[in-house]
Amino acid sequence: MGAPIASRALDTAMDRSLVLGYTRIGLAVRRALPGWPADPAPGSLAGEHVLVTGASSGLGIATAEGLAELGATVHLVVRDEAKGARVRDEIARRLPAATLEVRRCDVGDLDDVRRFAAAIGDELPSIRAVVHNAGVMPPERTESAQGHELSMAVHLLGPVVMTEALRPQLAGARVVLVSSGGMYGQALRSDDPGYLKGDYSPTTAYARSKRMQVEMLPLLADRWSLDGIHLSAMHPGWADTPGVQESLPRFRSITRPVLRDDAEGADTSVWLAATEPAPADGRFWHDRRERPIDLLPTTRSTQDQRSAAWAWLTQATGLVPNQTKGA
Amino acid sequence: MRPTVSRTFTTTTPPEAVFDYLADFTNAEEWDPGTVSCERVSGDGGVGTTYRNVSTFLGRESEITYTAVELERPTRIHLTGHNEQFDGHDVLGVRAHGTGSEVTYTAEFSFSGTARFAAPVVAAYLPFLARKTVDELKARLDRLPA
Repeated sequence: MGAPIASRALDTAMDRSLVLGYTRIGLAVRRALPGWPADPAPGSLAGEHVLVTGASSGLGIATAEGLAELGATVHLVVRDEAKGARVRDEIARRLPAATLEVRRCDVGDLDDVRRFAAAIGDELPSIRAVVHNAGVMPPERTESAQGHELSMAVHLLGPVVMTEALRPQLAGARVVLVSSGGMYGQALRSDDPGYLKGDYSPTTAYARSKRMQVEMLPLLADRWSLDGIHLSAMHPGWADTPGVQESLPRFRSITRPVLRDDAEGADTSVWLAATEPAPADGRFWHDRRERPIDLLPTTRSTQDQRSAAWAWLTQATGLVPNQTKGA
Repeated sequence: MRPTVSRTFTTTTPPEAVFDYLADFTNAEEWDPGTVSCERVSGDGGVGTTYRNVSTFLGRESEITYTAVELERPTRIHLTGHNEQFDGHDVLGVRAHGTGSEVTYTAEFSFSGTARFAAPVVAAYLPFLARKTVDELKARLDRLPA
């Protein structure tokens, strides 16, 4: 990417300081620096269908609105249809020309994800983008309908099952996993993906599932590249979302003046879904630039751990191996 | 200490041809500058196939038995290497990229016994080794018939 060295260096320095990079200060500075990647062209998603999960709050609303602004027909994929309808009306007031559809799906329930994918797949021959934004931080350890730890189910298993089921419709499409900077603090726990060992902590469970997303990102990108699907993951920085308000009130009270608003947090998701040409596959992004998945040597996973995690993921989601030789 | 090196590059050859070439580890004789010889000891080329690999590293020759532990055509190849003092992983991820492929090659090493003192030396030498290996690997892959 053609950014001058000095602005790239400043960008990277802010990123590693976390506080500067992840707050609205970081985004404001980066946007002003030379080399900031251009916005997607106006109307670039006109006539296209896109899905946004978790679209009834926080970053999901802003992502849906950002994509609608580029002309897309946006399917708000939500658990609560009444809430989804209120969000649809709220966006429609700001963007009267937008086409918005409310769709019910519980991303944490793999049976419901399969039902949803079959229904929308029948209806839409082609889907241009999916932003897997739905997120949860259960206060107590919670299991999904299939018995998976709920944050892992919502952040990884549901998105994998949905994408896999829609492979034909997603040929050439963009798929974005919304991760979290919180994953930088956790190592890959392929030995305990269900969080069965030790005391449960909501923030740890959340960050572990986000770590699992970025560790599995390159393998999933390899797999879906065969259909021309462009998979990316991103983290929004520190945004003032309902998740933060409910789950991290102390963090919020300290950082509120510099927390990003929803549109600032959603910026990179919208950019990844729409910019041309498609950004390189299988990368981790923040503020429109590729970022490392480890900042600490202690979180670096081993090949054995990645293999174990991949075996677990394929089993939990029922992914059929591409073609296993001699197994 | 577990020295690891990972490199990503693109080739004009599509994923299936890349996979078929790399999944047959005897081809390391061509693409791995460190490999002196590599022959199949058992198996049919699928998961569980073992290879005897003789390589030179910093002037020392060593024999390592490699086993294919994951083969998902055309995207994933994982071999483990083992001898008394060494355990290693060679992992190749293959991704469609335009009409060709993007390949990520990761090598991870761990040492036991007296060889563990070599780990920092290996770690220091790895970037050089990786460049030589990736240059050769890319050149070989680019010349494969699609």
